[in-house]
Amino acid sequence: MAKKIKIAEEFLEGKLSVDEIEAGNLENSMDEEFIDTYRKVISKNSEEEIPNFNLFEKTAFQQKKERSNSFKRTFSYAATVVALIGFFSLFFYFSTIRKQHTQPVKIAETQKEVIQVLLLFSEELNKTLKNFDEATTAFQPFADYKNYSIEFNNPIKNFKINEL
Amino acid sequence: MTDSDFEKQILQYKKKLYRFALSILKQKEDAQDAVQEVVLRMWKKRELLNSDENFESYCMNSIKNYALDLLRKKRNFQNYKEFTSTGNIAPEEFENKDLIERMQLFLKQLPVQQRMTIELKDFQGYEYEEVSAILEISVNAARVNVSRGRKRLYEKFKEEISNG
Repeated sequence: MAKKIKIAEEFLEGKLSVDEIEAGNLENSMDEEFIDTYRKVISKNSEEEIPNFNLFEKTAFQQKKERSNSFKRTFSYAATVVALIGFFSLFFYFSTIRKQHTQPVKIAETQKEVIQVLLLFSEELNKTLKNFDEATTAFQPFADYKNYSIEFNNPIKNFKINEL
Repeated sequence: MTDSDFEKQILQYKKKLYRFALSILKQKEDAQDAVQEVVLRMWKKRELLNSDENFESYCMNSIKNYALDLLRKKRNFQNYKEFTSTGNIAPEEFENKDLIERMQLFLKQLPVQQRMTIELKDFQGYEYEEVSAILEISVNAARVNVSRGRKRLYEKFKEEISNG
């Protein structure tokens, strides 16, 4: 005959699991009933259906959120790039148009300025040539006057004082 | 771990995860929410996870951590005595309940550490070593918690029987 198990020592001390205790092998009816009830509770629990819920509900939601965030990020990035390109295009477009409008006016102005500069240059050149000519005449050595023909170079050669 | 591997693996443990979460949180909605949240957190780290034997233990451990965090937060907002205390059950809760249902109520009244160890050891059939790995406690502590929980249930059961 199998030895009666002392429930307090074996099961309650955690040495045995409920499956290891055979029915009718316990010391008293109270222990028998306790083990039987305990077993039924375990059995009822394991047979109980769990609610049919989606294990990946939050995961799916998170994935959706991430996709949405990623789209938003990409969209805002693309929008920024497009805006920048648009801005620069407009800038270049308007600056080119402005250039085209201002060119004839600028050419006319330049032409006028060049003419003025040329006139001034010509005036200055004349002055300089005149000064040079005078300077050459004034400082030339006396010996050079040897061949100086008064007849040829004299401006008053034909001057007749009596006819005045 | 790839997406499909992760889904396959995690679906295997759906029932266990839900039951363990329910044993800690007691509310079906909270348990569902906890499981979905833990699945989401693990999904985010799926590339770092290995599909070896520790995966199950890791899942259960994550459920435990999340559920206990949730309990702590709830306790900060309201007087959540029922989660830790071993207070008496209101008499109206016992009305029209058989012994098995009363045992289930007693089980819910156990302190959370004892409830978790009993759930894992007796209801889900884990060995003490596995329980200790999941709960991150020593094997001896796991055995002590199981023993204390069983003893408390036994005392409650005896009281019920003697009160008729």
